[in-house]
Amino acid sequence: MRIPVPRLVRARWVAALLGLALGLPVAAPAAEPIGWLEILPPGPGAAGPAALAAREALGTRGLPLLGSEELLGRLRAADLAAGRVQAAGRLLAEGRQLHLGLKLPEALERYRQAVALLEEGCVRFYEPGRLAEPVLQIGVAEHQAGHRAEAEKAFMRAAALAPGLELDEGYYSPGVRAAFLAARERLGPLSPGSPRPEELLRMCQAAGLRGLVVVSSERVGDRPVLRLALFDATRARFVALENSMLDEAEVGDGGALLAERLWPQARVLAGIPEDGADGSDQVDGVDEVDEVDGSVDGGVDGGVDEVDGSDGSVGSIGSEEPLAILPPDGGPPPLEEEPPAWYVQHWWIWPVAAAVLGVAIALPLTVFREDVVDVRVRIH
Amino acid sequence: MCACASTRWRLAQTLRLLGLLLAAAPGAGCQWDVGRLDIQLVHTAREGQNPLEDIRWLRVRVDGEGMSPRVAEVDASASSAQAFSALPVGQVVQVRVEGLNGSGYVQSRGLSRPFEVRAGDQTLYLYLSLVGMFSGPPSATEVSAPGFADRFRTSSRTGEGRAFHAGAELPDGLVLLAGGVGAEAQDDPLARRDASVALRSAERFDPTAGAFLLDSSWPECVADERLCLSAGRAFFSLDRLVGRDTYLAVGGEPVDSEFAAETFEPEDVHFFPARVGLARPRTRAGQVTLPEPTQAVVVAGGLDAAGVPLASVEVFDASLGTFSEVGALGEARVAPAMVATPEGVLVIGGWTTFREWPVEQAEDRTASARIDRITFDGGPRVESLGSLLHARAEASAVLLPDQGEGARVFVCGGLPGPGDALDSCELVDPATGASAESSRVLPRYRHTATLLDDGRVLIAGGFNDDGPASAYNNAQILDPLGGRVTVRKDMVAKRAGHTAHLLRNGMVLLVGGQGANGQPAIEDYELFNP
Repeated sequence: MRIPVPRLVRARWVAALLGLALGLPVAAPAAEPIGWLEILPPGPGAAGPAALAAREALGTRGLPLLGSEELLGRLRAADLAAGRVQAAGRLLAEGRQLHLGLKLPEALERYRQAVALLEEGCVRFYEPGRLAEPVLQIGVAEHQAGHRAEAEKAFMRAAALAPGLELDEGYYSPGVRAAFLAARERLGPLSPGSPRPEELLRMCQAAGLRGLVVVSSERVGDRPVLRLALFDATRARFVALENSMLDEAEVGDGGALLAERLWPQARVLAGIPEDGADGSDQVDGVDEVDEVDGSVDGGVDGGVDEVDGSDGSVGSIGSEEPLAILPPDGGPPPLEEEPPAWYVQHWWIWPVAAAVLGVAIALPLTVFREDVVDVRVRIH
Repeated sequence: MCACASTRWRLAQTLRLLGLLLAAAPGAGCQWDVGRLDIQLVHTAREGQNPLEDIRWLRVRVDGEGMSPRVAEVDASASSAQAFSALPVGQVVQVRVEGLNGSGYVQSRGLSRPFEVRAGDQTLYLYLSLVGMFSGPPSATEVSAPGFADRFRTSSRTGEGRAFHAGAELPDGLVLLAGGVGAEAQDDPLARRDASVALRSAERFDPTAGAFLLDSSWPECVADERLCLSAGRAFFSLDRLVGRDTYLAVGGEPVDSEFAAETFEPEDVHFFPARVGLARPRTRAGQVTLPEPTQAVVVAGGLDAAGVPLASVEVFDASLGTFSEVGALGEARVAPAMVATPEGVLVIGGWTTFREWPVEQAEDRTASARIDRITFDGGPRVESLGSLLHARAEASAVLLPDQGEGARVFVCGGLPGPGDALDSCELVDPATGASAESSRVLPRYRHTATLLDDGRVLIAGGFNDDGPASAYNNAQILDPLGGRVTVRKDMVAKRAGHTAHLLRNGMVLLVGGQGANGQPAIEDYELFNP
C-alpha cells in the first residue's frame, strides 16, 4: 500500500526528517571558497611541483582556492576562538601537577580530557605537536602505572603525531625513554595520512569552506602518483578523485592534466556557471558531480601491475582507460552511482513504524485501560 | 555506511521498545485514576455504644468477584486515612471494616451490601457497631451521599412509629417495612380495626448505612405516592414469591375483600393491588412462603371480618396468580406460628377463641397446643400432626438447621391462655410432630426469634407476665441444639410486637413495636451485631 504523498516528499524529505530526528549527519553550511590541502611527503620530489601546477591551473580557470597555509591559519583561529586550545593547556598543566604528585589516575583523566578537547578541533592538522604532548604524557603515566601495553599505544600515537619528537634526558627517566623509542621503532616509517571525511567536514565548517581539494601522492614502483580528491562539505563526502602518474620531466603537465579533469566537478562545487561555448568543460561526458565514498588516505597497493600509462595516468574519472586503482577502503568504484540508502529506498517503513508506535501507545491506553479509584476511610 | 548502521541500530532499539511496550501493556495495564471512594464510618452516639472507643486500628477489607481481597489497616486515631489505591471501576465489591483494640481483638464491625464502584467521587456510609451488642441508629440527622442515588435519613427514628407491621428483605439487600399500627392508635391498638389506625406507609432500610432511605412515604402517604400500600394494613404478612422478585402482602386489618392482597415490585419500588384476593379475607392469619419447587404462599387461620376465628387454609399459586382454599385446620386458630419445613408447613398453636383485647382483660381466651401440617406431595393436604407440650399463642417458632437428626422447629414463649407467659421452649420434630422440652427463657410473648448465622437463636423483646405495660428491653441468645450457654443482652429500647430481620451482613434489625407503658407504636430501631 502506498501513501499518496508527493514523490519529492516521499523519499528525500522523509529521510531528511527522520535523519534529523535520529541524529544523522546533516548538511554543512554553505562556504564560498574551496580549500587546498596538501598532504605530501617531506623532502624534494615531483609531487610538489605537480601539485603547484594543478593549483595554478585551477586558479587560472577561476576556482576560488584557499591555500594550505591560510587554511591552517583559519583552523587555528577557529580553535582559539572556541577556547579549546586554552582549555586543553589548562588541563595539561593540571595533569602535570597531579602527575608530579603521583596521582596517576587523576592525571590520566586530565590528559585524556585535554586530548579529547583538542581532537574536537583541528589541532592535528596545523599543530600536531600540541596534540602529541598530552598523548605522550598519557604514555608516560601509563608506563609508570605499569600499564605497558597502554603506554606503548600512547607512545606510538605521539610519535605518529610528531615524528621528530624526542624525550629530554633530564626530564624523563631512562625507562620511559627506552619504552618510547621502542614504540617509535615498532611504528616504523610513517607516511602522511589523509584526514577522514568527518574531519574534513569539521575543517570546512571551521574554516567556512564549501569544499576541499585534498592533494596527496603515492609511489607506484619508482614513479610518483599525484592524487587530487574533491571533498564536498554539503554532502560530507568526496565527489571526485583524480590520479595521475607523473613523468619526472613533465610534472607540470601532469598537474595541469589533473586540474583539467577535476575542473567540471570543482566548477559545480564552487557554483561557477558553465560557459558552454565549446563544451570543453565536459570531460568524457561526465557533466554531473559524481559521488565518491570513502577517504583518500592509504596506499595504492596492488595496482602497480595494472598501470597502463599511455598518458601517464593510473586511472582517473572519465579517462579512456578503465579505473585501475580502487579506493583505499576497498569500497565500490568511485564513479558508480551509489544506490540510495535503505531507509530512503524503503521509505514506507517510517510511517509503518510510526503507526506501530502509535498503536503501541494507544492500545494500552484504550484496550487495556483500567479506570480505578482510590479508597479512603473517613473515621470521624 | 556508519550512518546507515547507526540508523539501523536505532530502528532495532525502537522496535525492541515497541515489543516491550506491547508485551508489558496487557500485564501492567494502564490505570487511570478517575475518582475516589470515601468510606464514611457512621455509628451511634449513645453512651457505651461507641464502636470507635478504645479502637487502635481499623482493618478495611474489600472483596469482589474475580478479584483478590484487598486488606489494609489504618490508624483509627486519624480523621481520615488512605486505605487502598487502584480499586477498579465497575467492580462489584463489598466492604468490611473491623475495629481492633490495642490487643488486636475485633471490637466493632461493619459490612456493606455489595455495590458497584463508580467513576468520580463516591461516598459509602458504613454503619459500625460493637460486636455482641445492640446499637442504636447513627447519630447524624441526615446525610446525602454524592454518587449514590439514594439518600439516607440517619436518625433515631424510623419514618413512622409502627407496630404489628410486616417486613421483608429485598433482592438488593435493603429491608422493606410496611403498614402496621401507628403511633396515633390509642392505648388499645389491637381492639381497633378501622382504616384510620392501620398504616399505608412503607420505608426501606439500608443495612450498609444503618439508616432508612429518604424515599420512604413519611410523614404521610398521599394517594399517588410511591412506597404506599394500596390500603392501610396491620397484622399481615409480607413474603417474597419464590423465584421471582415480587412480594405478596396478604390479609391484615382492616379486613377488606377489596384490598385483601397486594404485591410489591422492588424494581418499581411500588405496591400494586393483587388481581385476585383471598377467598376469605382475614387478619392475624399465619402466612409462610414455600421454597422451590412448590413456590406457593400458604395462609392459614386468622379472623374474618366479623371477628370469627377461621380454620381454612388458602394457597396462592404464583403461576396462576390466584388463591384457592385447600383444606382446614383441625380447629380454628388466630395468629398461629407457621414454619416451612422440608416435611411441609407446620401450623403451631394460636388462639382458639379470640374476643376482647387487651389480653389482660380477655378472660375467655384459650390457646391451642395443636400442630397441623400442610403437605404438597400429590396436591395440598392438611393433616393433624401432633401437639405441643404446652398450649401457647403468640409464641415464636423458628426452623433450626439439620444437624444429622433431621430439622427441628424451635418454639418459645407465648401465652397459654389467661395467666402468666411461658418461659419454656420446645423442639418439634416436623416429621413426627413429637415435641420435647428445650431451653428456658424469661417468660415472654409477642417477642421475635431470629436464627443467627452461627446456628444460635436470638429471642428479643416481647411482653412479660405483666402485660403491655411491661415490655422487655433485653434479649437472650440460645443454642437449642449445641447446648451453648444462654447469653443475655440489653437492648436499646423496650419493644414487643416488633419485627426482626436477619440482614445479609449478619446483623439483626429490630424495628418498631409497642413500647413500654402501653406506648402503642415506637419509632425507634436498633441493630444487633452478633
